[in-house]
Amino acid sequence: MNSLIIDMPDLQTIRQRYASSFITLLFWIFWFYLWLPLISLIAWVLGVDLLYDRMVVEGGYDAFIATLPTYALVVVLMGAIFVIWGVYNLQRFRGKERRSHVHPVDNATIANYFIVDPVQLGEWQQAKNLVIHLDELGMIQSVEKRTLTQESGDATP
Amino acid sequence: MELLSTIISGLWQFEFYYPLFMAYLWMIGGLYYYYHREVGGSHHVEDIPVLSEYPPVSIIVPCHNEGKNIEETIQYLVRQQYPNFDIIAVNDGSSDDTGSILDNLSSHFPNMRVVHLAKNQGKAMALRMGAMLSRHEFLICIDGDAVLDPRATTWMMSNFVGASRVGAVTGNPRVRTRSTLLGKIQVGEFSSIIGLIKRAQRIYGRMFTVSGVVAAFRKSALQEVGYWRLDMVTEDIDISWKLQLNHWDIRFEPNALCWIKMPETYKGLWRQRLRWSQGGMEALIAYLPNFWSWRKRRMWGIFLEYITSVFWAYMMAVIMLLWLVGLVINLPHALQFPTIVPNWNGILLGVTCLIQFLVSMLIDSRYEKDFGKYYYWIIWYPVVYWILNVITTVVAVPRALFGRKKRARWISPDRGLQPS
Repeated sequence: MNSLIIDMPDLQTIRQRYASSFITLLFWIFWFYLWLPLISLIAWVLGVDLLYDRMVVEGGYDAFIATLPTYALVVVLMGAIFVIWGVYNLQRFRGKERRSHVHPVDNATIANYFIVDPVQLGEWQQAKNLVIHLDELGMIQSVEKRTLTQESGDATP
Repeated sequence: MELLSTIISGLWQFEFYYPLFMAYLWMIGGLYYYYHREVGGSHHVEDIPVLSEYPPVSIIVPCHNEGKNIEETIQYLVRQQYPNFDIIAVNDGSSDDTGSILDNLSSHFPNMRVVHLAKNQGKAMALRMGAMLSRHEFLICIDGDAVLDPRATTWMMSNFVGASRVGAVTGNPRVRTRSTLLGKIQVGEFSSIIGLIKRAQRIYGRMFTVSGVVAAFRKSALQEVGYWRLDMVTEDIDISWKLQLNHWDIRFEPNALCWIKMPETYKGLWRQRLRWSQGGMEALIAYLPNFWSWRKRRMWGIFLEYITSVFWAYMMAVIMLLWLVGLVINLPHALQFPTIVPNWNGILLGVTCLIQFLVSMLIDSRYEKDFGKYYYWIIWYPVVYWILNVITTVVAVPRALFGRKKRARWISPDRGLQPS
């Protein structure tokens, strides 16, 4: 197994594990709840006639089967439109650069946007360690450069 | 009363048809992407692409109280198999030892820099400061508790090189925390729902969101749209919509693996999903006026799908409420739901879910061996997802609509069970 994956159920408390089991049980019940008609049908095959009346005669078994082709048609149509759209985009955009070459944003523009001095920004970008003070509106109040001692990594202002 | 009855019946059918048909649409889109872009000799994670150029990259790591995780994150980042990159760790006012750990690490790695924000400012501000202080045009933003596969930078950059309309690339988050049921369900979710939808949306041409945990950006595109907003609870959805509304493309790179820690408690999961829900709604409110713009028509699909899913969640809540009330009070005939047994349609929905999981697992098994065993757990996902989705949406919409706008700050998330 990948060493990054953490799969250790033992890290849970007993209460957590019991809670998981209980909720799991509820999920299973709900899942089979969805399958009730099918279970009923199997029950009918096994001889439970009343369920046949409930599920097939009253439960719309025939109507359901009759609707299935319509569902299939809708799925096919939606899928076809989607795939045609995908192929169309591929033909239209593949290998074509409609956007003219993008120039990397320069420091003057960035400094202007963040309302800081471009020369200072250039210095900050070279600094190894900085502390930034911002005000409540998110504007830069001050920036201090720090130097670190090599051994401990402790910062000194 | 007749009209009301018709409306109720129509809604009931919509509640069934919408997830059913969308599931098939995601599957078709996902499979198309898979056969178009993933199958074949040179598309494996280990076959790192050879690029025509290697533009320098700044990897920005915003972190708040990541003392337990940050060293591992950085240790993986320095091993990126890319010729030219630096790391900018932004310590966002941590109250634990994150700052000193980062300082210590940076003294060992020449290409690592540390920026301390004196007070906690939130992830968006940490990203803004990281972007401002970066020396390079391309940025990879990764959370301080995530582990980036050493090949991921090259894979992400392969989408930018020679494609000037690409503004962002989102990676492939893989769940690490798999001890509990919730952890295992999310493994399936990230593959079955998130992975499949991202592939399908890539084919459609527009994406709902990049993964906030790992995404690469072109700085000139960020500059054009004004970087990350400070007042959105999810900065990733916001930036994705802004970029795409300004005609920047977003790509999905499934080979850019990023190992992430997800909540493994109900409370943690609830808080995370409520935040996601609220973030989506905030983006919708902020950018809905663009819906009417013909020039921005490619986002229509994203808008419509999101609006419909919010409507679906509310209608499901209404139906459940009517059914519960109907158990106690004798409601008018038109409002009665004698049963919410989904009948044969329920089976169809159940079968559809199983097929969807099968398709997604098939696609995803490329990225992890023994992935098939998670199929057993994924069976819970529809229930968890639908219930959680309905409740978080119902709660999040009024929050996004009427909540007081304020700066989004860090809330230390639940990161699953971890060995001490």
